[in-house]
Amino acid sequence: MTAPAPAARPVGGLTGHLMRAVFQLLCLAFVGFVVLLLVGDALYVDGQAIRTVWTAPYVRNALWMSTWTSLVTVAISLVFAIPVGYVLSRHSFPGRSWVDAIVDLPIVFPPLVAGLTLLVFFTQTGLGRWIEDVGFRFVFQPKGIVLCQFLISASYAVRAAKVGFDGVDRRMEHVALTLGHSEWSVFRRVSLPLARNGIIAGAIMTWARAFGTFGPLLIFVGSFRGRTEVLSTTIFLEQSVGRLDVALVIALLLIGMALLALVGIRFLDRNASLGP
Amino acid sequence: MVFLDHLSYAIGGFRLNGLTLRIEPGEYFVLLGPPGAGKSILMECACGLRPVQAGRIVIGGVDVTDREPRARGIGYVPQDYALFPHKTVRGNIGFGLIPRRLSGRELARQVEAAAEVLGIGHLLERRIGGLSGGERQRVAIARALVVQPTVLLLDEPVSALDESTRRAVCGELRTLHDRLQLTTIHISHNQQEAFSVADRAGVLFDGTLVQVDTLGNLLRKPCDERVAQFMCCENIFAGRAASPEGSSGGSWIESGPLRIQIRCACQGDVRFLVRPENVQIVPAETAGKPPHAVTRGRLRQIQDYGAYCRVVVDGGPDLVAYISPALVAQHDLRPGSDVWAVIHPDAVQLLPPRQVTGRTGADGQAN
Repeated sequence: MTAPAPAARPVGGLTGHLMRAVFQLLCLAFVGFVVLLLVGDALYVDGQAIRTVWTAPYVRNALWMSTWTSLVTVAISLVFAIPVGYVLSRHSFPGRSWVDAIVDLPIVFPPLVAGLTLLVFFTQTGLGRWIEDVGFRFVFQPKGIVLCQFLISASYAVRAAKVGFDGVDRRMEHVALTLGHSEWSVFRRVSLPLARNGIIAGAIMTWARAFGTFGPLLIFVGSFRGRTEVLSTTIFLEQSVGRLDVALVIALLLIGMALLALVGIRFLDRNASLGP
Repeated sequence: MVFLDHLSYAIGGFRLNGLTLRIEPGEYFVLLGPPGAGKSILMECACGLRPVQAGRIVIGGVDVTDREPRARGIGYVPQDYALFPHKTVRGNIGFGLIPRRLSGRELARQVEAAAEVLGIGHLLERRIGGLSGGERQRVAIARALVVQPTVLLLDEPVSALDESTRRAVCGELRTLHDRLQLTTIHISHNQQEAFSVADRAGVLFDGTLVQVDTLGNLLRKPCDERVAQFMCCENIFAGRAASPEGSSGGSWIESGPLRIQIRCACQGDVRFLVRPENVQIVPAETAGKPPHAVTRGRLRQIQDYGAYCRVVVDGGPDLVAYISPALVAQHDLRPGSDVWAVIHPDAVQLLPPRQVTGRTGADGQAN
C-alpha cells in the first residue's frame, strides 16, 4: 500500500495567505456584482415582454437599423484603421505622438459631447452646412447614425490594428524585402496576414461599440421611430413610457451581442497565443 | 565579391566608423564581435534595410548603395530565422519566387530543388510551428538560396541551437558552402563557431573593424588586447622590458616574479600575451629548472575539458596553461602540485599600447 501523498505545502507564509484571500474575495465580489445585475434583469422580464419584443415591428426595424449601420461603421473603420494602425506602428514622423493621442481621443470623449460636436459642426460651421447643402445629409438621418458610430468606435479598430502590426516581427518584413518583394507586397503578404487576428479583434470591438452607441445618436440624429431608431434608443423610449420589462429584454439582447463579441475576441487571442 | 567602402552609419549613440571590408568571391567570411558591437546593424546596412550615411556598398562588382533591398542580390537569414508562421515550409521557401511570376510547375520545381539541397524535401508540407531549431534553420537558408543570391548573409545562424546541434550545423554550413561556392558572410559572437566554418574573419568592436585576418592569425597575432581577449587569450600581462648589455638580440621582460625571455629587442613598459596552449607545465619533483622556465608555483586549479585540461599556476600573476589530460594523469597533477611554468621566447607576443579604437586598411586588412 502506498502512503498518501502529503498535502501540497502552501508557500508565502501568513501574509501571502492573507493577500491571496483578500484578492480572491475582491475578485469574487466584482464578478458577483456583475452577475447579480444580469440575473436581476433576467428575473424581471417575463414571457409577455419577450413576445412583445419578438413581434413588434418597430423592434425589428430598430434591430435592422442597428445591424446595418454598425456593419457599415465597421467596414469604414477598417478602411481607416488598417493604414493608420500601420503608419503608427511602423513609421516615425514629427508629431507622431500627437497623432497617436488624437486617434485615442474619441475613446475618452463623453458620448453626449461627441453628438453635440457633430451637431455643431454640421449646423453651425460653414463647411458642415456646405456638406449638408450639397446633398450629404447627416443630421437626423440614418447616415448620421453611421457617422456617430464611426466617431465613437473607429479608435478601437485603429488601436487594435496598431497592436496587431506591433506584434509582427520586423525581421520577417526585412527578409521579405530582400527576397525581391516591394513594400506593398510585403504589407499584403506578410504584415497584414500576421496582424489579422488583431485587426479582426478590433473589428469586433468596433462593432460591439457601434451597436450599443446611444448618447450621441440622441443628440445628432434623434430617435424617430422607423427612421433613426436603433436598439439602444428603443430601450430609452420604452423605459421612458414605463415599459421597463420590454426595455430590459432589448437590453439583454444587447448584452448577449456584446458577450458574443467578447467570446470572439477571446477565441482570437487564444488562437494567437497557441501559435500557428 | 563584397566591398564595403568607408561605410558610415549612426543611430542613437552608436556609430559605424568609416568601415572598409573586402570579401572575395566564394569566400566564407565570419564577422566576429561581442554583442552590441554593431554586427547586425552593419549587415542590415549591407542589405539596404538601413540607409548608410556615407560610403559605398559593392556586391558582385555592382554599386548597390542606393538600390532597394530586393535589388541587391543578397540572401538574408536573420537571427532566429524569421520564418513566416502563416505559411508552410513550401510557402516559406517559395516566397522569394513569387515576384518572378513563374509557372506553378516551375515554382514547385525550384522550391523542391532548394529543399533537396538542404535535405528538407520531406518537410515541405509542414507548418513552421512544428519544426525543430535545426529544421527551421535549413528552411531559412533554403528560402534565402532559392532566389540565387550573389552573397549569402547569415546573422547568428546557430545561436539558437544547443551545443551539439551547433557543431553539426556549422559542419553542414561549411559543406554547403564548399558545394555551392557562394560568397558567405556569417555573423557570430562565438570564436569557436568561426573556427569551424571560416576562411577569414573580422573582429568588430563598437562599430569599428579592428582586425581582419585568418583565424590562425587572429588567434596567434591579435592586433590588440581586445582582440586577444575576444579570442580567449587568458595570459595578458604588463611588464618592463630590458635588453642586457652585450646581448646580440632578444630581451627580458619582468612582470612581478615572472622573468620571460623574448626574441625581439625592446625597452621600457610593455604589454604582452602568451596563449595558454603555449605554456608548458613541468612537475618540479621530476626535474631541475628546465630551460625557459619563467616561474615555479603551485597548481591552484585543474579543469578537465576532455580534449585538454585548463590549469592555473599560482606563480605571482596567475598563469593559465592548456595541457594534455595524459600529462595530468602521468604525473598525478592535482591542486597544490609543485610545477615549473615554461614559456618559449617565440610564444611571447608584444601588444601595441592600449588604444580606444582600431584601424582597418582600405583593403580590409588591419594596419
